[in-house]
Amino acid sequence: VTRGRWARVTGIVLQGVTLGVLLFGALVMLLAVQADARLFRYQVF
Amino acid sequence: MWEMPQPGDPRQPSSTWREFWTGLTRPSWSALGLTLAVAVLLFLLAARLVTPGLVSEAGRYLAEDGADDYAFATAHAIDLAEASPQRPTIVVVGASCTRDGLLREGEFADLVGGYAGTPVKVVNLTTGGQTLWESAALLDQLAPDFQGVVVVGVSPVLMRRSPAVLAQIVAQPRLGIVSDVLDAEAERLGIPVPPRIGVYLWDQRPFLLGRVRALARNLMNGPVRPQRHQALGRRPLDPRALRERVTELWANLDVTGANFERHLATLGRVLDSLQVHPGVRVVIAEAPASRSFRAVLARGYEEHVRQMRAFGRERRVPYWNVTDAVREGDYYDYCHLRTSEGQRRFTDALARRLAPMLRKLGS
Repeated sequence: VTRGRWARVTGIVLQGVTLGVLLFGALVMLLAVQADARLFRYQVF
Repeated sequence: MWEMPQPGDPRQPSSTWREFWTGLTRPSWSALGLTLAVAVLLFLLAARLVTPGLVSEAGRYLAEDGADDYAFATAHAIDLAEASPQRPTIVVVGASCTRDGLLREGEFADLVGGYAGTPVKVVNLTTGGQTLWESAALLDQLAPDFQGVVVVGVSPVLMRRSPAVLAQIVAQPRLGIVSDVLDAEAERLGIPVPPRIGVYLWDQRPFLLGRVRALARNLMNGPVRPQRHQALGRRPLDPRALRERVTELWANLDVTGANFERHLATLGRVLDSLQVHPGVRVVIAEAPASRSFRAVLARGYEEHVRQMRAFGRERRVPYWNVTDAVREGDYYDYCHLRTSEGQRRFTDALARRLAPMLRKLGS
């Protein structure tokens, strides 16, 4: 029973960490695309 | 897609694997909490790791391309804030007209150093379309014990930018630096300044987030090499097109004087703020301006120079206009130089005047 519980906890942790990293990456990319669109472009001249 | 073997399946996994799979795939409050905690933790980690020091080191990775002066100027300005150069330094701020008039930093330093008889360093913080407010923000970064000469590049165009441009800069900064001087200028003109919390990643998020894609690209392709002189080697602009461009440029500026007066007041405050550095001398340098440009502006140009000279006298700050050192054939358009000989002539004229100041600083 203990081994099974540890296995389930490991699964939950792996799920949480994976989704957390994906959520962070998705938010950064979303904000980056928005910021890129609004970026006050530098002028060459 | 891979599926979990069902009970009764000869490939049925052990109960340990089944428990692991259930934990991994079944939504739960624990997993949701952990997901959010990990995301928040990563943001906190990024806030701790993304510092001005990192941006200074990674400036060439943040640049969109070689002409992205603002990424390079940000990195150089942070360098100036974090450590004072070991030798007398010339810091140049200004817009593309000044940028394109000057030789590369090393060549400029050699010229001045040769005349001054002492090694000097040049930090060129000029950027395309730089406003006086951004120049002020860059100069606000100088370390208190900075030693050297600050060259503030000006032009009739730069000194007549509308406050609407400042509002745009405050909303979407082009430089990745926080400056109390810039914020104060905005507030003085009634432009709301976003709250600063003192965390670089947060305060500079428009600058940093707008460059995430460039960063990803540059991490794969390597750092970007600055290519500052965009007009070098080009054929001169057709005189008619040039005349139209200048006329349009001038028509879009406030020549009646309100913007100019505002800029003079800002320049005065920049000079005041630089007085806290005992080792700093300031020079106001007019950017190159072609004869055709001056002809279109007619009395406008003469009036600009007269007022700038009067301002320099009043504030006891040298105002130099060495545009006559440049030949008409050196120009690509109204102010950008297309020949390295032209750049050498303009830089040399400045270097000769800068040398005595640096000699005094060095002694």
